[in-house]
Amino acid sequence: MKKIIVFSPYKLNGEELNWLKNYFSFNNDVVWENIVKEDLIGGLIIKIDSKIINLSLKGILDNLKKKLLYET
Amino acid sequence: MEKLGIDLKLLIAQIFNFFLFLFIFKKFIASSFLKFLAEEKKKQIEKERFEQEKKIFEEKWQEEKTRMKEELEKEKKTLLKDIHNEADKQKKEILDKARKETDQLRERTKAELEKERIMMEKEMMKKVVDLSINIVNTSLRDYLTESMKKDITQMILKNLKKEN
Repeated sequence: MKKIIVFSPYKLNGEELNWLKNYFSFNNDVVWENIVKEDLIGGLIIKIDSKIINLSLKGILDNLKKKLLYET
Repeated sequence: MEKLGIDLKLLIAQIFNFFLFLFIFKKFIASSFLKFLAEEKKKQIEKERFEQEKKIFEEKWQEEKTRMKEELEKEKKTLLKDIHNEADKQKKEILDKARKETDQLRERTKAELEKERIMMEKEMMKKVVDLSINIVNTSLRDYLTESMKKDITQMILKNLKKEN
């Protein structure tokens, strides 16, 4: 059974979770979990098995940091 | 004759003695004596010739000695000159080598300093970026309210929808 973990800076409501479920459109053999991580600031991190989709502000800032350090 | 004090018998005997002596001398002694004198003369001549030759030899030896001394002096001067030249040459080589090594050391030091400067700049840049991002991170975390965070999340999801 697939497990999807959604990290968010606040507890997602039902509407938001449904939106995500519809967006990814997996079959019913998927377990969704929402974990609150305040340091994300805003946005989400979605972990599907070992794959990570980082849509958080923290992620954006981290990418910016990497770009500034290694591409200059 | 007796009044003059001359004894005739004695005189005759002396004259006889003289001729007897002369006869004996001529017969037995003269040849050996003359031979002896001739030999002595010959020796004298030999001695003189030897002295002459010795003198000539000494003169030649002196000349040869002077010549050798001059040659030796000349060789000594040449040798000293060569030694000085060689010493100058080596001195120049050592100086050139030292100069070259100093230049190389200077270049290496310059390159190392430049390398260090770049490293320090990069380090500084890294710290500045780290600090800036941390400040932004902390500031946003402290500043954003729950509803702002929700709005941001909604906006991100909306954009996600648009891209796909």
